Amino acid sequence: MINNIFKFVLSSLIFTVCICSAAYSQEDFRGRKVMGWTEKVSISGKDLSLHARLDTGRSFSSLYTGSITKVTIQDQEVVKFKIRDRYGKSAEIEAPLVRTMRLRGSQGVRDSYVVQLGLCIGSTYLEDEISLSDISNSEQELVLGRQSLEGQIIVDPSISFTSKPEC
Amino acid sequence: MIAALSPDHKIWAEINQLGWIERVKIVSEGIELDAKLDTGADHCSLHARNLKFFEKNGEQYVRFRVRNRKGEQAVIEQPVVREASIKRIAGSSHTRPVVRMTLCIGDSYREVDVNLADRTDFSYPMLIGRSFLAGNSLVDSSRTYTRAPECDLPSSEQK
Repeated sequence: MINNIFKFVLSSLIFTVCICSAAYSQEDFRGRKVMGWTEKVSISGKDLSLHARLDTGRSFSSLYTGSITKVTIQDQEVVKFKIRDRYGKSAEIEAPLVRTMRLRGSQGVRDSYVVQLGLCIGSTYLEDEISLSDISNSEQELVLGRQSLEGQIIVDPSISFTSKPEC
Repeated sequence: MIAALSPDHKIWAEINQLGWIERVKIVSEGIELDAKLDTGADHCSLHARNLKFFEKNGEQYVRFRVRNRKGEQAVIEQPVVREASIKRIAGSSHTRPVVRMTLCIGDSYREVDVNLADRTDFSYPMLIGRSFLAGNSLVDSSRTYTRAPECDLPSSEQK
């Protein structure tokens, strides 16, 4: 009887070890986290979650949003914009302007503001420069490029929405 | 089970961790090309020149040329499996021929549909999207050229 229990415990132990080594754990590869190619992200500590595409094909990150305006507050240039997520939550965000980028696209030349934003993906908090594009009509989207992911997040293209923003 | 526990056993993630630029081998021709691994792209795309369409055994074929950075070239002939419609942000769309190819990156290989494009303006002749990467690889934005393509393929496919 005891022998049988022992055998059972031993085999389940071996089984568990095999399962664990077959896949990776969500924690880390030298401190980096593995995330899916789309994840929920909150910005500037607001209680909302935007769907973000983790895109290793892009160098920089962009946020496609609406109502972007530049104001000057106490000699500092600040960009205001509105975001709304797919769950009905919205917020107005103010972020310091880092620089203005001139983009040459299919619809001619336009200026795009680059702001410094704090983002939360899973339990990872990162601050990065994000360019804002005004697209009042179509769906809002956040794209995180390599500059934001580098050294922090490894992308698994076979999974999505593995986490909730909790920083 | 015992094999899985042996000290030289590598976990899945170690085997398939790749950088965002890697060398990709087109298995049928043995040519290696630099490719960008793009988790934001659905499909794979290849810069192909001198596209010539022709019919063989009642099937639509395409013949094209690829060239790598070292100047090595290969002429490839493949049946056209379909035409892919490519959307542009400006609203215009065009089609590209799609061929099926076995690609090898690191030590993983897979047969995928590849659309033939004019990538003259791009830094890398090949783009690898999720159709190859999903279930196969993890992409690390802080690394490039981590491994040479060395796949353990059935000998009939290799050149």
